Amino acid sequence: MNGRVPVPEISEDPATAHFWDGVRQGEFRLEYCKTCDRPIWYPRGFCPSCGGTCVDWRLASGRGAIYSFTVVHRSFGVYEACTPYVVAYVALDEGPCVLSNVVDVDPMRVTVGLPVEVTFTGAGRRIAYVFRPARARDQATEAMRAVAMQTTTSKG
Amino acid sequence: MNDRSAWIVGAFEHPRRTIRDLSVPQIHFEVARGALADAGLSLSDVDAYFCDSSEPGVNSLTMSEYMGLRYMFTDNTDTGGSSYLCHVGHAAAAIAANRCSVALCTMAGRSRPNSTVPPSARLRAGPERDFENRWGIAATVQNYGLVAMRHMHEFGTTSAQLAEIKVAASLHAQHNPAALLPYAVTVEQVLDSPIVSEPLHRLDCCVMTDGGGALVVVSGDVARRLDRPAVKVLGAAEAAKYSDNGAVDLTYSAAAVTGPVAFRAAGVTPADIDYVSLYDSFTISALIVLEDLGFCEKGKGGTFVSDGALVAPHGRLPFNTDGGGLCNNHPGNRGGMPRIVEAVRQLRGEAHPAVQVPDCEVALVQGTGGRLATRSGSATLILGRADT
Repeated sequence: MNGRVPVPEISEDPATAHFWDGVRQGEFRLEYCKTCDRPIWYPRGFCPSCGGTCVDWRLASGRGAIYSFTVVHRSFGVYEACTPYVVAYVALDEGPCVLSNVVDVDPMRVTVGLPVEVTFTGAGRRIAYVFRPARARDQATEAMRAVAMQTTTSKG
Repeated sequence: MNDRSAWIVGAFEHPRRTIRDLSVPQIHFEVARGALADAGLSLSDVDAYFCDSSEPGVNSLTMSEYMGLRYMFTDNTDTGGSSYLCHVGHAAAAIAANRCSVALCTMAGRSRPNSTVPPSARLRAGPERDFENRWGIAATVQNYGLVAMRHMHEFGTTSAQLAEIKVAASLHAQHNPAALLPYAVTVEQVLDSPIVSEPLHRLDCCVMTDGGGALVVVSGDVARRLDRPAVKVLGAAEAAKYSDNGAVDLTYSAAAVTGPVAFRAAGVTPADIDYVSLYDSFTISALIVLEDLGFCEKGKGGTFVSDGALVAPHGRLPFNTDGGGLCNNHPGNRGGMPRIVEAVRQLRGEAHPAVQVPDCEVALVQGTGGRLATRSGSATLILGRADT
């Protein structure tokens, strides 16, 4: 049992097609605003921070750390049989916090700050990105990231 | 005399918590009738109508025809469970602008899908739909688990502290025979209840009920003629909170915006509030807005609730004296209307004697609609006793 849940079909949305094409090819593509240089999440073809309409796409590293998570013990519909599974906000190295599952790990070992890396699953319209514990790179870098995630984020 | 202040003169909470023999429109009519009777008015007096957009086929046009209303102002604002607080604020603004004088606000819903419309059609998601629920967020509790986990991580909030909120609500629910769960629980019982989505236990979650409620909001001129117990709308505010283009911060809600705006409009501060109705979809929901509204510092909500502060009648800040969403009523998964109704009861001196706040002059109602980990619409109302 690896914490994966059934993958539904993505919807037909011209603003996100390029993102999901990337997922099919094993890439986590991030839309960026060319006016203010911020990543845009979720992709929508314009920037909700500055209103800019010139966007481009860049390849994200696929790495991040858990900002928050919940271990789901009771669920419904197609998810009922998958418990326990982990839903998490992953703070990508590039900045945006994205929702996903954390897989290939004992749910009891998941913590805020855990370094994770993306992996892709599915085909056609049933595709998804999920995260698993990152393979250790430089240990000092990982330790620094874990400490940084424990500090209070700025309030909007 | 052209007194365009706004007064709640009718307030009604449907007494049932399971309703299988009535349609949702029929429940709307029953609560409308109850609130209008409370006000001493009739359907023909109504010139403004408000409802949310949660039930397919229920809107201003269909309900005004169904109930024989002739509106000169209308609104179907839907911000989830806070919609009805928005409706009161909008009614007050319309009254102030001389657009209407007698506003009827109704809500009705069922806790489980029990209609011919499949749930997926009712809960149509927006452009975010491919990036959120598909990872197994199948119920609101899972969304709020994310919120509670982060609050615990940043501030050391504990499950026992969250449990105190449920305990306080349950102490009040004991006196409410209409409540779904009219009995007291202990912290131990909350912590022993099964974990639904970490860190939230079953007893951290509100009840799921059928039901509804209604309000009648009128101008000062009309209120004066009615000689019924009236509660003044002193301040209203609404705002949304969502991820700031991916910059997620789960530790606060838009009550941090709506609270100060409503306080300023009403000319009062948190110290002046005698009673609060706080949206308690989950224990963490109530804790976060206590901080956002300024009743305690951000992060100190756990400490604030741990010494009986919320318990009526003599706690520092009596809350949800009907038992709240946690124990009494959260109709159709939207709890804002019963929150408003209990605040009106308190200000009229009509709450149960065991939980009536002595000399209750100013009350605050907080609604937190939607789902706090993704997108949430907040609304704050500040209400005052007639002689305030």
